Amino acid sequence: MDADEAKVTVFVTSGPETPQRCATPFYMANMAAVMDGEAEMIFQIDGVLLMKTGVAEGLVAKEGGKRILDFIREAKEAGVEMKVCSAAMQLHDMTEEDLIEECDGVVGAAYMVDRGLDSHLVLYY
Amino acid sequence: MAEVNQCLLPDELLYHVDYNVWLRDNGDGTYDLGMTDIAQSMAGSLLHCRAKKVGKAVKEGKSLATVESGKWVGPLKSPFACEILASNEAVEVDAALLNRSPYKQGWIVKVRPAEGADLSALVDAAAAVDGFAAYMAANEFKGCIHCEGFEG
Repeated sequence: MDADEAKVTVFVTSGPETPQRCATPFYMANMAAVMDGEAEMIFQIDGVLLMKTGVAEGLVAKEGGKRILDFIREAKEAGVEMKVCSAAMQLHDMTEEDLIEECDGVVGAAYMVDRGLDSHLVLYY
Repeated sequence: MAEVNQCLLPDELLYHVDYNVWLRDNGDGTYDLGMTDIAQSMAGSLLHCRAKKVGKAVKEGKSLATVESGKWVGPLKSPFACEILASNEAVEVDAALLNRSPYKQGWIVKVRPAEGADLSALVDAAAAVDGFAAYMAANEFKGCIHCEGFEG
């Protein structure tokens, strides 16, 4: 299968406490979208914090490196969809008002299972 | 040779400004494509280049290849519907060729336009200058950077 026929889903459970794990998920989703795949990211557990206003702009995977917010924006520009888990929002006492504008919405567990089963490539971070 | 903010635009090539690519008309109905000097400078030191498969039909605006510079990734967008006839193995082995020789050794794919493909967005170097100047201003890009060994 060529990448431009592929559906790629990236599940992100890592958050700001492990910043070194926070750039690669966006980079890989960006790559899938640039290759004309249909790329979507789903943020669970601590991953939802990357979609919280004010978090990603002060976060870098490596000292002196590019901000996670810039990785997010580049992935969005390439066409990556970004969705957050409703249960993880509750876990971190977040509401939709807390989400950055790059986030495309809140989804439940059934959506995530369906999306994973329907994908040609699933990545976990 | 046309030039804009230290960026070179060889006169013998055609350009698609919005996609930041050059094309060489081979005179036999085929075109070689690559990244412009502007594109290679904006990308920085390139690490990887991967073209789509030979024989692949690609729609206008879709990716012919992807290039990576470590912390940046981007597509080489097709300026018209086409079929990929060949890809340059040399740039897949050493993507830095795209930095050193964007217009000579750094061609990325050879394509044949699809029947009825619209080539009207292609312009020559002189006509591309204003468009690239505006593109660079919009992207807050001041001028091209040429690495050691740059040969154009």
